[in-house]
Order: sequence, then structure tokens, then C-alpha cells
Amino acid sequence: MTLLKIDHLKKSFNKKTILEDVNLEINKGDVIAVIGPSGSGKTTFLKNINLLEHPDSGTLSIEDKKLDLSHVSTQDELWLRRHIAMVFQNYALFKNKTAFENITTGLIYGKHLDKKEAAKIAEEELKQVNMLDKKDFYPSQLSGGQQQRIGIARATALKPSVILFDEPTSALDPELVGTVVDDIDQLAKNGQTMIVVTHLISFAKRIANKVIFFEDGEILSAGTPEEIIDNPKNDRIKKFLEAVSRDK
Amino acid sequence: MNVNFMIESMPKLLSVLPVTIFLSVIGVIFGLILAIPISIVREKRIPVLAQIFDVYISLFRGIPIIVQIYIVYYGLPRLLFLLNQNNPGAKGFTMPSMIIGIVAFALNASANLSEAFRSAYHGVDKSQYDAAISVGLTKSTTFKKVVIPQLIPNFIPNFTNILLDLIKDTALVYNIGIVEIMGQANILASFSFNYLEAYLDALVIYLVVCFIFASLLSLLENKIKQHVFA
Repeated sequence: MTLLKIDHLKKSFNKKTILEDVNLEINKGDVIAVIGPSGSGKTTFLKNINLLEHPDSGTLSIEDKKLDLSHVSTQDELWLRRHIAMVFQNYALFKNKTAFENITTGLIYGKHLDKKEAAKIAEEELKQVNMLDKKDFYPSQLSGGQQQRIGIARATALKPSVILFDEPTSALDPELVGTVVDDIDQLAKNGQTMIVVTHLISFAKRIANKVIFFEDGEILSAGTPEEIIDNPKNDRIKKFLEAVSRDK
Repeated sequence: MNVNFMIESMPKLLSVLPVTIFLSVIGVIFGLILAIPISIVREKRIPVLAQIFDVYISLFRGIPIIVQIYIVYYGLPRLLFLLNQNNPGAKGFTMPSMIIGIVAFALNASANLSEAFRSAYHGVDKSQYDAAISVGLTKSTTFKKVVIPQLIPNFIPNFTNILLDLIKDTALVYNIGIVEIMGQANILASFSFNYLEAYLDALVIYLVVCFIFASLLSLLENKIKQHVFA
């Protein structure tokens, strides 16, 4: 069942094309890994999906609602963000709020839940990522891995249809990557629909049922992890995967 | 050195201390009131207004404050007269020096404070804004709950510098007839020719006043930082 459909998404900046006619269809429970070289438009793609950046054109359909991305009202923007949450590369936890408040802020002021209900959800989510004992800690008092797990809890607390992950492990110390990967893997197993931009090919293979390869602002190739990662037919993808494995 | 003169003059100088404090504090308050919309207009790059404020800020930051005081002193009454020319009963405008001083200080402070606001705002990471928007907050709630609480601790050190500069700059308003600490020191010294002693008294007062304001604002900054960032 199609959950999210993006058609002809285009974005340019200062006359430079960043996204060139991107089309994507995602079913409920899909985990899409987005791979590709730096500067290929992967992050911009995510930011255009939840309108942190505004596309020049394109449509987005989710939950029986179709939005013309070139003219989205403020009301629709807020509606969309209640359905599509995001986890950031640099965690982006609110520095002036505790771990607990980081989660309740979106619930209270975004979803308009009462404080009691928000508190209950926040505690559940913190428990889920084994961070309940750190609920009153501020981001500056947490390690990168802990911050990212709060970031994940903040996104899942909103009970979104889709979660976008923008390189969730790339700012972490190598030894902290594992716990965050496990948390995301657990979400995938729970049937959470996700789009994950990552440089970790093994991670992409582990969690995704579909991989898309981005280059120069467009999807060069899409398929199962076996098709794209294990047996790439496209020379450009082969070269990229070789370079990535060499770097390791 | 006439120590007795210094001791006897101190209460006379302190009697005009409220003028110094009133002028700088009221100047900075009006400056803040003006700086907020100026910063917003410049940050949003609202056409025409943003360009006007760009010039305004360059002007006020590039001209010595004594020149600004004189321009307001001679220019403001004339401007008000011109604006009121159609009124048949209009006469030449005279304005109390204190008003002139406050206007000059507020204009000067507004230019510097709006720059301080800008740098404090840019000190808040853009990802904080993105994260707040991404969890469904409106722009105004994002500013209220995330951006402004983080901006204030960034703003206070620059605000302190601007306020201390204004306190020290009050020494110049003697030129337009306002008797504050420097003015009073000049008057007392000219009667007895104890210039050094009178200025040493003024030095002590300025130093103590600036120290008190700097300490209070530093205390406030730490308190806010503790409250905002634990």
C-alpha cells in the first residue's frame, strides 16, 4: 500500500539545479536507504520532503492528501510535519531544554497534546531508547550517541507516518555508532516507515528493503539492497561502492 | 593634591549621578525598543526599509557620538518646526536638553544594539530552528521557545559593552548643557582650579558605576545561562 508518493520534485538554488525531477513511491513499512556521493542532493531531498526547504515544484501525496509542493499553505506545512518527522545529522537537540523537554516540546506545541499526555509519551519513548535515567540532562551533558538517541525518541514520539534520517551516524564516534544503528534497526523491525540517508553501506544493507542511489540531484538507480549494493549494474554505483569500501 | 577638596566634592558629584544613570538607562531602553524592529527588518531583508536601516546603522556606527549629539541638538528642533510648518500657530521649537540627550543616546544605542541582536541571533545554530520546525512548531513558537531563550545569553555580553559605553559617553552631554558627573566636575573645578582632584572624583564614580553595572549584568548572564542551559 503506497504511503508516500513524491512526483517530479525539483529544487534549484541560485540558478543551480539541486534536485532534478525526483520521483519516489514508498509503501507502509518500507525502509529506504539513500546513498550517493557528498553533494549529490541527498540531504536537500530530505529537507524538501518535510519542507524545511521549499521545492520549486512537484507533488507529495501522503495519507490521502496531495500537496502541490510549489504552493503549500502554512496549515498544510504544519499538517505535513505531524506526519513526517526528522532526525538530524548533528542531533539538533534544543540546547535550552532537557532530554525530556526535547521530546515534549513537539508534542505540546506541535501536536497540541496536554502536558500530562506528552509527559507519558516522552517517558515511554525515553524508556524505549534506554535513556529514562537521563531525562533531566541537557544536551551538553550527553554524549553524541545519547543525544542522537534522544533525537530518535523526539521523532518517534510524534508517531509520524514516516521518519527521515539525515546521516544519523556520521557525526558519532565509531564506538557509539552501534547503539544508534540498533535503535534504528529496532524501529525498522517494528514496521516504522523510514527514509535513511547514510554513508554506511553495511547499515543500509542491514535495515533497508530498498536502496536508492543519488547523483547530481537525481535518482540514478533504485532497487533492493541485493540489486544496488551486492550486484550493481551501473558503473558509477560500482565505482562509488569501491571507493567507499576502500575508505573503510 | 587637595584631598579635602576631593572629599568635599564627592557628595556634590554624587548628587548628579542620577542624571548619568537616567540618561544611559533610558537611552538604552529606547535603543532596545528601536533595535528590535530594526533587526527584524534587516534580517528579513524587507525591501527599501532594510536598505534604509543599513544606511542608518552605518551612519550611527561611523560618526562620533559627540557629533550625533550636536546634530540632534541643532537638527531635531528644526526638523520638528519644519514638520509643523503648516500649523498656523507654529513657532520655533525649543527642547529640553535632557530630551535631546535621550534621543541622541537612543538613536546611537539602537544602531549598536541591533548589530548585537544580529550577532546573538546568528549565534543560535540554524539546526535549532530546523529541528523546532520539524517537530511541528510554528515560526513564532520556535522563536519563543527555542531561538530567543538561546539568543539572550549570547546578547548580554554585547549589551553590557553598549550600556557601559553609553554610561561613559554621558560625559559628553555637558556640551549641550546637561549637568551630569563630568559637567559637575568641570563646574566645581573651575571655581577652585582643582581640576585634577575633580576629575579624579569623576574617575572613581565612573569606575564604580561601570563596575556595578558590569557585575550585575554578568550575574544576570550567568543566571540565565544556568536557567537556559542547566
